[in-house]
Parts: sequence; structure tokens; C-alpha cells
Amino acid sequence: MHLRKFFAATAISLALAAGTAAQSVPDAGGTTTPAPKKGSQKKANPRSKRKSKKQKGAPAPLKSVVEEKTRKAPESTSSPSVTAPAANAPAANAPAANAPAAKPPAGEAAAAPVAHDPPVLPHIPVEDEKRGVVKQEEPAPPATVMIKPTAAPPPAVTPTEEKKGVRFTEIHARRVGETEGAPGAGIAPAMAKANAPVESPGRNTLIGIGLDAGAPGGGGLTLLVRPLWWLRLNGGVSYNYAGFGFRGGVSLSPCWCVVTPTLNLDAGHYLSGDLNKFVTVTDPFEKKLLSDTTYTFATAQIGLEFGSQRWFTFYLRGGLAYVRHSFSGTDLTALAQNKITNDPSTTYQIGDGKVTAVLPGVSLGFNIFVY
Amino acid sequence: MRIHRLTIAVLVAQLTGCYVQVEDDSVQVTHSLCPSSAGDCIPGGGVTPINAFNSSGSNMFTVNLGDVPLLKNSDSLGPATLHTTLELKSASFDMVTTGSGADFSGVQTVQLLSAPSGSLSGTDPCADIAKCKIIAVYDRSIDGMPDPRRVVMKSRIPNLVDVIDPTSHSITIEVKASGAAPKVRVWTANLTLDLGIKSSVNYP
Repeated sequence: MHLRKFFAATAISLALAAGTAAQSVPDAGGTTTPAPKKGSQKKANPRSKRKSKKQKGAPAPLKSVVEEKTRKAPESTSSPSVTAPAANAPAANAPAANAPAAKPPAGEAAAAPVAHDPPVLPHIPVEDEKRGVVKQEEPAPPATVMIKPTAAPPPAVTPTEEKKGVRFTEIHARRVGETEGAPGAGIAPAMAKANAPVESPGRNTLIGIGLDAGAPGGGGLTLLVRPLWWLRLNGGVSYNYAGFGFRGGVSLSPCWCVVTPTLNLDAGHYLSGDLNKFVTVTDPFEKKLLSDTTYTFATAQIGLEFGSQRWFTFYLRGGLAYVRHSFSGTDLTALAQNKITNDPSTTYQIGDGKVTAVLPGVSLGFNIFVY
Repeated sequence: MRIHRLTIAVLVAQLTGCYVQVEDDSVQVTHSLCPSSAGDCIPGGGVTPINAFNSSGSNMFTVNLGDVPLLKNSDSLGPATLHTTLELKSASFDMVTTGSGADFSGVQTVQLLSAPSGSLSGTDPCADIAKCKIIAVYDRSIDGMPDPRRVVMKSRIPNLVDVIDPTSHSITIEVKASGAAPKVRVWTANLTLDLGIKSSVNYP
């Protein structure tokens, strides 16, 4: 009977030891071990106590095997690859999906093992695993990784932790851009550099010149005035090959960046225009009608400006344009009447006509601020 | 389901509201019932009912509008199609003949109808009213007659372009009236069509 009990206990011990060793494979987030709940300890203990009672009388020829397996686990957990992802500390509280977390409680593990004691292999209830109660089987005190800024005060070790033999491993972390010295020194400038405008709008340029081309605004040479760093006014002359005009507008730029989005509202009027430069007509009345094509326009565009808002930007804009043009009633009457010259009994009397359009508007150009 | 690119483009254009519109609210077409060389040519004499509106004594005449741009139902403008609406705001007969009895004081009702193009003068193509469209109407009992030398008819047609013959660019008009003709022996008047034109195209 005793022999059968011995073999049974040995077999169970071996099986559990092998399973525990396999479970102690390093876990990316398993370096910070939450304190096990008392309830879960209580649940876990009776069965392991019963087993240990059974195993107490057992000889220790298998101890070396078990110790060998349990020794491998701390080696792997204390490797740098484990401590490196400590930044994921919050995730460490939850057990990794692919890595079973079977680690004995710190208190139990801290207790010095008796030389002839068979290894006590803890049983981890399924409920505990689900709750993330992770127990460490490593007999050595666990290393709790604390990440703190350089020159920050040492972590406060509570008496309970001290009693349990918890030791803290300090990793002094520096964020990218932080220089050595006072804690946090260097972070603020680096962060500011990343988020803030490329150029501080503190020193502003006020006056500039703009040159652009597009439709329906045509080409333009404008004077730019920037009363506020985010507000730019423009006014100048425009030319569209058919004639000359004038125009003005407002641009809003919410930041001074290398690539700055802008909202642009412009309006203008062409004082002269001869569309006969673009089309060929034979009817003299149509030619007369096209020779006087003045129009008024307004555009609302969004755009991107590339370069330094302070000195030079190149931009591309797109949006909608409203165009309004008036035809002379006299010219229209002459045109219509000319179509019925063979019928003197009918006469036309036509007032001024108008053409309105909402069309896509595009423009590109550049701004140079000189003062 | 494959959505055609053009459909997407049309939807985008509709969303952005791109369009071109040509409009003129003051287009007047005046047609003289008698040729200028003929002077007064329509028989009057207070005949009841009044049924002569041209020199030959019939009630039909043709208004030639000419091949004026936009006076078509649709016209191509680049990749787009231009749709035209010719709104008849009102039509009126204005007495040209001067002298006593040269007025429309005896007229009770007038109906202006568009007859099929090519209808022979002297016939009554609108005897079957289904063949003609009513362009404008006047009813003295409703509209009154503030000026006896002028009969103003209200429009009854939404788009006059629909009755313009696309080949001859003209409208054949038949007049149906009740009441007495002007008392003068011969008379003439002008028919004035007060129009508004609106042509629009949605892009693309």
C-alpha cells in the first residue's frame, strides 16, 4: 500500500511539476504581479496542503528534477526581454491570452524552502486564472519593476511588501527628447516642438505680395496685409486675357505650419472683357455681344499652403465660384432682331440679360511677405 | 452593383450645386397683325362675333420668332444640355388704329391658341380643341377692361417653347373671341407677348 501511495504521489508531483514549469514561460506583461486575493489563497491552499501532507513522507530523489524545472522559470522571467515591455504595465494585470500565468503568491514563494521538503506545486483554480490572479512559483523574491523619471524619489515600500520580501527594480526611463538632469527636463520643449506651429507667430510679417492664377479669377497681382497672424487680406488687379479687373479677399490660416490649411473668400469684378479672343463667330451681332463680357465673381475655397507663412508660401486651392455676368439689352435686341430680318411684322424688345453660374473654382499661386 | 462614374460625377455636381443659368425677365415680342405697308387691314364695322384677326379676314396668323439662341427646348452646351423655359407672363392686343370706335370695348372673351404648324388659313384647326393648346385667355367679366384700346390676356401655358415649331421657329396662333369687332371699318393691332426666358444647365 505504501509503495502504491508513493508511486501515485510521485507521478502526480512529476506531472504537476512539468505543468508548472511549462506555465512559467516568460510573459510579456507578467513582470508586475498583482497581489493574490486572500480568498483565492484560501481556496487554493486546502488542496495543496492535503497533497503536501501526502507528499511529506515521500523521499526526495525527484526534488532535483523539480528544482531544475522550477529554476528555469525564474531565469527566463528575469531575462531582459521580460522587463523591457514594462511600459505595458497596465496590461500586465490581465493574463496574456497565450501565456498561462501560474505563479505562486509572493508570500509563499518568499518563505525559505526546507531542505528535505518536497516541492509544493500549487494548484491554480480555473476561476483564479480567469480573474487574473497570477501566482509565481519562483521561490526567489519577485522583482517588481518600477518605472520612474530620472532623479525621482525611490518608491515607497509598504511594510507588507517589505515583509513579503518584495524587491523593487528601478528602471530609470527617459522619454525621447528628454535630457538628463531634472525630472521631466527636456520633455516639454520636445513636446512643444512636435505639436506647436513650426514658426511662432510671435514675430509677424505684415505686408506682402501675391501672384496667382486660376479660374474664374484669372491671374492676379495682389497686395497682402496681415493684421492678425491668422488673418490675411488681399486686394489687387486681375487679368484673364479677355480683360482687366480688380479683386479682394480674405484668407484665414489656423496655424503657421509647413503645410497650412486655409479658408479663402475672394470677390472681384472684371471691368472689360472680349470673349472674341477665345471664340470665333461670324455674326456681327454675336461678336458685338461677346465683345463686352464683364463679370463679377466670388469664390470660397479651401487650400493648402506650403512653406513659411512668415515669408513665402506656395498654395493650391479649390472650391466653388459664383459668377455673374450681364448682357446688354440693346445688343440682345439687335441679335434677336437680326434673326428675323425676313419678317418685318415681328419686333423684339429685350432688356438686360444675366448669366449666373456656380462652378468649380481653382487657383494656385504664391505669397511673398516682404515686411 | 457597379456605379457608373458619370453617375457619381452627377451626384457630386448636384451636391455642390454647379450650374449655369441664363435669364432675362424682359423679353417682348411684338407682332403686327397687318404688315406695316398695308396699314389698317382687318375688317371691323362692329361685326358680331368678332372673328377676323388678319388681313384676309381669318382668325389665324403666324408669329416668327427667328432662330434665336436658346429658343429651343434643349440645346447642347459642351458636355452638358441646356434646358430652356420661355415663360409667357401675359399677352395683349394693343389697338394701333386711331379714331373713334377704334377699340375693343365690344369684346367679351378672347382665347389665344397655338395651332399646329402649317395649318391653312381659313380653316379652323382648333375646332377640335385637343389639337391646340390654349396660350392665353381674356374674360371681360373676370378681368374687366381698364383700357378699351388694350385687351390683356392671362397666360395659360407654362412653357411657350413647347409650341414653337423647331423648324420654322414660329408659332401659329388662332384667336377665338366673342363680342363685337371694333366699330371702325378697318383696324389693326399689335399682339405683344411679354416673356421671360430662363435657360439652365447643370454640370456635368
